[in-house]
Amino acid sequence: MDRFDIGLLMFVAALALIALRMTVAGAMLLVGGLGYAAINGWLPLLSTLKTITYSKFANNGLSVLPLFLLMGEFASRGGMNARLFRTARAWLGHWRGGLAVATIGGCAAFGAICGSSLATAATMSQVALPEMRKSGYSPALATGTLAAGGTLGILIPPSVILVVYAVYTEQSVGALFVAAVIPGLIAVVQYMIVVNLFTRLVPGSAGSLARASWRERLVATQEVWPILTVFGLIVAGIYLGWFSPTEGAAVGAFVTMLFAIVQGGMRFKGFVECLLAAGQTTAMMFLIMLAAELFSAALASSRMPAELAGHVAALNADPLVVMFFIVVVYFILGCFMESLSMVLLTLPVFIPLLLTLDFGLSHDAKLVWFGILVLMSVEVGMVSPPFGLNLFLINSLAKDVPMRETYIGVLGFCLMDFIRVALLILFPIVCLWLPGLR
Amino acid sequence: QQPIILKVHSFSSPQAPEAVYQMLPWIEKVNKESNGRLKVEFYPSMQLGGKTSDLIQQLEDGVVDIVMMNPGVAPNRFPVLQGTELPFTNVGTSAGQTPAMLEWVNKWLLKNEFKGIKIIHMHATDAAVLHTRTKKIETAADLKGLKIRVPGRFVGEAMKSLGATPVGLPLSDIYESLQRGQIDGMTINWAIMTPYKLQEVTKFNMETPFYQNAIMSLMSQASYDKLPADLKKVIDDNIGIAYSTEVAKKIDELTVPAKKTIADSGNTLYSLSPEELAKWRAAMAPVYKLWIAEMDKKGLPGQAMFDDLLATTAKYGRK
Amino acid sequence: MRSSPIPPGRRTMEAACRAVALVGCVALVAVMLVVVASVLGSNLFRHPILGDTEIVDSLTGVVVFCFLPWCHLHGGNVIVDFFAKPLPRVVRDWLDVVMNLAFAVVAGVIAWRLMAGGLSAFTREQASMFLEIPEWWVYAVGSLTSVLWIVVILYVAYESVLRARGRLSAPADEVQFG
Ligand code: NA
Ligand code: NA
Repeated sequence: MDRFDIGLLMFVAALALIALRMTVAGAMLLVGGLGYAAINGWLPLLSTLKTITYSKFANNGLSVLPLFLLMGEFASRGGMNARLFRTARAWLGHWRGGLAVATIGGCAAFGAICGSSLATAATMSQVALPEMRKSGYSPALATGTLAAGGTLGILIPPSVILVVYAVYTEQSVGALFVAAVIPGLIAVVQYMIVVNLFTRLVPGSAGSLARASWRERLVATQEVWPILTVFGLIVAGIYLGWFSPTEGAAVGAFVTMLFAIVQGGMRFKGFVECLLAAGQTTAMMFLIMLAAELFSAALASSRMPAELAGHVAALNADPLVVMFFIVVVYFILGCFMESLSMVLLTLPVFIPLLLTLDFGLSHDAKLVWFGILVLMSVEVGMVSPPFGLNLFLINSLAKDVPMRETYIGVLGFCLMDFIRVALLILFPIVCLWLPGLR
Repeated sequence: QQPIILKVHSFSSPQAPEAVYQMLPWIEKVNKESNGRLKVEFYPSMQLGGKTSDLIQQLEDGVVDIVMMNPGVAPNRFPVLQGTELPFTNVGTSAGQTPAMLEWVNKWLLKNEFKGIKIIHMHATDAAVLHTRTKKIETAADLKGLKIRVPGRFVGEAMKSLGATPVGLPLSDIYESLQRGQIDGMTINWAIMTPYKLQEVTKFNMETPFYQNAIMSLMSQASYDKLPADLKKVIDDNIGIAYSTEVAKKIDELTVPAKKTIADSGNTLYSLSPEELAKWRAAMAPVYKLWIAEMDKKGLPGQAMFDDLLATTAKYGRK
Repeated sequence: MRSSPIPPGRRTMEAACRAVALVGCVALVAVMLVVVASVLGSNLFRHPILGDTEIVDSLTGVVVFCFLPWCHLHGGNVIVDFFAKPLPRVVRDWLDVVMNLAFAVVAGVIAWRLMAGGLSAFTREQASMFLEIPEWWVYAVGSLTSVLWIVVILYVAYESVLRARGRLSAPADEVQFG
């Protein structure tokens, strides 16, 4: 069995173990480790394991996640989330799926300051999930909306992936950010449409209330100034360069903590409960990310992406067919890999392949277009059932929602993702128009 | 017969100058000269896992056979080598200072930091200088309260003694940090500016040379020893001071076009006044002392090594 | 089905995991405070804190390591109960036993390598760039907590054995996971 086959087998084995109720992290660690050893030998595996855990866990770059989680815990403990949604309900509650639409909007706004899909999903979940549930939204719709909405964190610029891509391909980061804007906005609109269709097709999936009076609306709106202040502070602070997303998360957590103590009556016991809840999800996510890193290291040494690219190049197929093929590879890799490592692994093999293809676009236009396609495809991998990091995160935050419900809820959003990717493949102008490339 | 696989693990992307001008051509050449009996494989951007600071341990543990790295990422592993990065000790061209660096390394470090390691290649980058986001730095006082990204510990100490706060940051994070104003500036060599688009997020680029970074490709002696004699020869044919200097020449060719691109993008390129430069040089004294003291603590002749470093770099045309 | 309300050992496990997790809580608060101080330092006082990210590096490691046992004990590690759903409850319980034992082996290897890595970080004097915070002590925290982590995973396997034999009802959160 050569290393290419080992790479393929890894996907099958991880899938099987997860289906047989092994923890996602455990399955990927086990299979990733065995795959790594089968390809490189036991000694290299054991040596790699010496440092990889520390490198992944002791990582201030990832500390944005626990801090945003903590902010969310404090916000719900302090009743800020409840107030925010009372307001949203007063304004949008009589619309079918109004809260879910508002959640998508919130995700987009958050995505404009944060470059991480997981952090967006985590933060927005803590704000929106309990309130959607309380308002009678079906678990499927609520968790599906959040899993998909989370991807807006990376689809709406800024986005770490695009920066890395720009360096790889010697393209302007600015041009890529601009190119991502229209597809990102399309995603927002598409997601809102999905919410609307879902509520129409599945009766009773979203609660709808009587229209609130203007007086009720104003009263509710008065209550939300704390959370709006915090949100405004973070958005403004990150835009003005006062702080990074991590620092914004810490400041946000700190300020919501003060609000929770002063306004929400949080006491020491509640404080510790917030910390415990944020810590638990943190451990879960970091362990999955460690597993994803080991898995992708094994995959890198299997040279599978390179061989696949070689096979495809040998086919001499129509460029569009090749492009669809590349996108599908991203969908599959997205099952087990974190988006950034996926991009780092695949660009060295796909970019040379891409450059041999003729789409009637200039060199720069082709690379910018492909960058946006990579961005979209990578994110689809994170929300498409059965495996996707966003799904796992949301599902662990929504303790009472079975995974099946989340799968059902996210399907419509995934369908829209596929449509958008196909649209972008067939009509590159969608992303190239704004940066003025052709 | 199956070819012998050698894994190269690198901190840089395949587009970085050190990959384009050294590692990738080297791999192609070695693979070819071995008549297909060697298969050197390139794993860029830490694809095999870990942080850049793990690279050297991965080499020593036998996880990979060759690594490409700079000494700054592993602060306590290459303290002696980082002497070559002390500001103003080696300012010149890459091709000029690379032989100086290697000569000094061969004299002082082979039995020390490079025990069990075969140097494939090592070069001093072209001049690394100070780039800032919004503030033109004309005196050290302008640096007060600024966060400046540095590649390693001693450049950080230099920034500290000029009044700035040094920050360590992976290369890939610099662009966004500058764009958002997370850091106020950085020190980096010209050749790396344009591939990373850093002219887009800086306005002022000081032309006064500050220091030169070391970049190196290292092979584990154990991996080398395992090779049959004829393949060892293939490796030996493609290393050495002359080879590294050839690489350095290509790096030097990038400096002028990089400066032009930066200037064309509307940035201000400027130099420190001679009086101010003298002050900056004087401010380095405690940094040099710190390095020397650290060498002494390791039982090495710190002062003698430092004097020899200055003598060697001067011999090769330090400015 | 006769079930005892609380399986033997559960209370000890809870107490041990909680104690370790509380250390993680302290580290998490410290992360928040260090970052807030750093923001204030560089924005209000024009005096950035040297090496703030290095402190956060180490503390984040402590947070994660201290929460691993707690997370597993409370079913925080995601399980996809979608494909195994049609299987009878008892089969799924035995699957849980097997999978937890396999996970314990994985955790064991990680713990073992953490100890080896910590030893090598100690002898190599690995430390952060500016503050020279030694890496080994985070490794030490990780090595200690991962011993408890392994015990917890084995304990969860043991609970699944009890459940498979009808001596324990499914835990509340597991039922809800459905
Ligand atoms: Na974003
Ligand atoms: Na997926």
